Amino acid sequence: MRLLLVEDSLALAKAITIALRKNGYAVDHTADGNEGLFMAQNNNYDAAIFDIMLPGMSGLEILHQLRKDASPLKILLLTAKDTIQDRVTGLNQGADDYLIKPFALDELIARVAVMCRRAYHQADSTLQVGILEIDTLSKQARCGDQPLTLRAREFNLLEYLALKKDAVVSRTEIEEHIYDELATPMSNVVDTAIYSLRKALTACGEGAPTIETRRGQGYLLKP
Amino acid sequence: MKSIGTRLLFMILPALAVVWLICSSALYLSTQKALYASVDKELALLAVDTPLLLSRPNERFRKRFQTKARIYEEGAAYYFQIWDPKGNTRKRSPSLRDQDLPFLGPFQRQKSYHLRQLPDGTHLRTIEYRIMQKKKPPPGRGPRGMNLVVAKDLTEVRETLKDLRHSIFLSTLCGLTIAGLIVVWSIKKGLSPLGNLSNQISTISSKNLDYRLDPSDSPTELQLVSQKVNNLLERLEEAFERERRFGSDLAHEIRTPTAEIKALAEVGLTWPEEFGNAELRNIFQSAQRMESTTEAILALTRLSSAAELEDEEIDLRPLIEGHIPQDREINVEGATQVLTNRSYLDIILKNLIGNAVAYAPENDDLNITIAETSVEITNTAPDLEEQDLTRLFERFWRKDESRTSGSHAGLGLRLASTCADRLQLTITPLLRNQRLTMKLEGFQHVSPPQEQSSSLR
Repeated sequence: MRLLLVEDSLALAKAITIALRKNGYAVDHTADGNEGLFMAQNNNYDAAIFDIMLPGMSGLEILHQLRKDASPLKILLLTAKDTIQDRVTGLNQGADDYLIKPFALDELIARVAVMCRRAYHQADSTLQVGILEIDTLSKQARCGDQPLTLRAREFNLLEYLALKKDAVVSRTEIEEHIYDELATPMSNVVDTAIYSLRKALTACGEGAPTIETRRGQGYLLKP
Repeated sequence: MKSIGTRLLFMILPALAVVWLICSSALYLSTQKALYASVDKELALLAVDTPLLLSRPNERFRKRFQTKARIYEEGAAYYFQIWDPKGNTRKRSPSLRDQDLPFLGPFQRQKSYHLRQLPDGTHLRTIEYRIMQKKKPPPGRGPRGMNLVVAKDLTEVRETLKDLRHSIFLSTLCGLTIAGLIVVWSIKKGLSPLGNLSNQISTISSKNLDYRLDPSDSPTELQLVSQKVNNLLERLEEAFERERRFGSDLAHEIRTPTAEIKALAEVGLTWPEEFGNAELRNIFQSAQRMESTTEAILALTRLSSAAELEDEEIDLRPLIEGHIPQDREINVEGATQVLTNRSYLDIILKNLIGNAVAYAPENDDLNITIAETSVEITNTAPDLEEQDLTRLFERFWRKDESRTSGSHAGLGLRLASTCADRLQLTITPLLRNQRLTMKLEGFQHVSPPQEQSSSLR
């Protein structure tokens, strides 16, 4: 999952970025409102976190502009403005969630996870593909009682393919959702990850889900 | 007796009763006077002819004598009695039967009217006077002439007056009851706009301070009250909004560094490998920012309630130069000696100069001009607009609403302004060609010691 964080407090942004990356998210950060809007308009993020009081353009203005452009991006407002009126204004402008500073990182991560699930119309935190079960909270996958050993990137790839099950996922799409702007993935990084994931899935034995390659289109996770 | 209505009722009703009583008494007394006057007139006419009854009437007066005599017959309401100068009864009317009219003579020639009573308790109105005789009495026989009393039974008059008293009593009772009801209704009707106003005001709370009373519905006397209440509400709304903004700003100033510290600490505890000196430095800076905000708030509170200040003679130039950062060049012109409080002036200069240095572009031409009773600090303020000048001294106000700059909480100018108020100085911001001048004026100038000595010479 790839997230956009627009926060002008660099110390806070650093802590949030570390926590989100440690939880398997790819995070792009900017401290400027205008740049935040540009990034949201030109990248395919799964969710975004905006501070309200930002230099250049406020979080509410970015939100307003994105909703005006009919952007379906899931947005959480993270701010010190705590009055009911502030919250109502934020939610009425089109925010999906509102979190007041100071906050617990666990709560922020949980709310981000909910937003990401909603982005893929997923109510449950557990994804099921055939006999494969993926727990998006504990970041663990298992085939029946057999746990799968996956690296973070492999898990993220599996989670993304599971979210888009029954649909072909292009390589660009995988790059956009799994890697942040700092990662600059090489073209064979996705192939390598797919290869590793296929290998890991063989541990499921008979009836294991398979990743099918569609030439010129992308990949499809089949139960 | 808390309500105005009750108070008015207790004032108006006794007043009405007193007025009613005075009018009734006047009516009663005037009626009584008129009745007595009528009786007196009657008695005066009777008194003219009554002396005729002393003598034997001749033919000429016989008829008149008989008519008079009939008036005083037994059972009649008229009486007379005549006494000689010695007080012996010479004649009395048959209507008196065996009773005597009270004799308090000898009387004067002048007729006088009195209220008397017969021994049987009958109330009378009398006319008393002395009838002069033509013959002079022999010496030693006392005053000449007869003493005459003519009286009328007042039973009828007294009955009339009694009826009048009853009528007055009953009319007073009914009148006051009706008047009381009218007064109650009038007070209720008259005070209803006040009640409406009170109801409207009672609905106002801190949640609907934007509510305004409609003065057009109120009577003239209450229109001013409505306007004043509306003005008060407007000021209250502004004050509440200011306090709300202050609370929100304070929350933001404290919450953001708290969030930074908390989030970084959580990262350090959960992923120690990601936590290093840079993160520690961030925590330190956030704590510093919280400290400076708290200190500024406490200073504002302390300064607003500080006791008497002690003034001293201060040379402004070295004090100003002491606040200029070493890495910044500022042109300082002029010098003056003023009488004021050093600690407060120190806070004002520190914040004014610190603000100019912090917000002016790098290599900006900063100027400080010292005049006899004022100081002007000028710097370039590229983003400042004319409408910002009124908000410069608001707590937590910063041009950059995002408050990304961590070193200033937006309390410095407010502190300077509070100190200036205590020293009875004024700080006026002026913006010309994107150059901001903060003019601190109102100093009490004192001549330096050299000038004083030279003038003495």
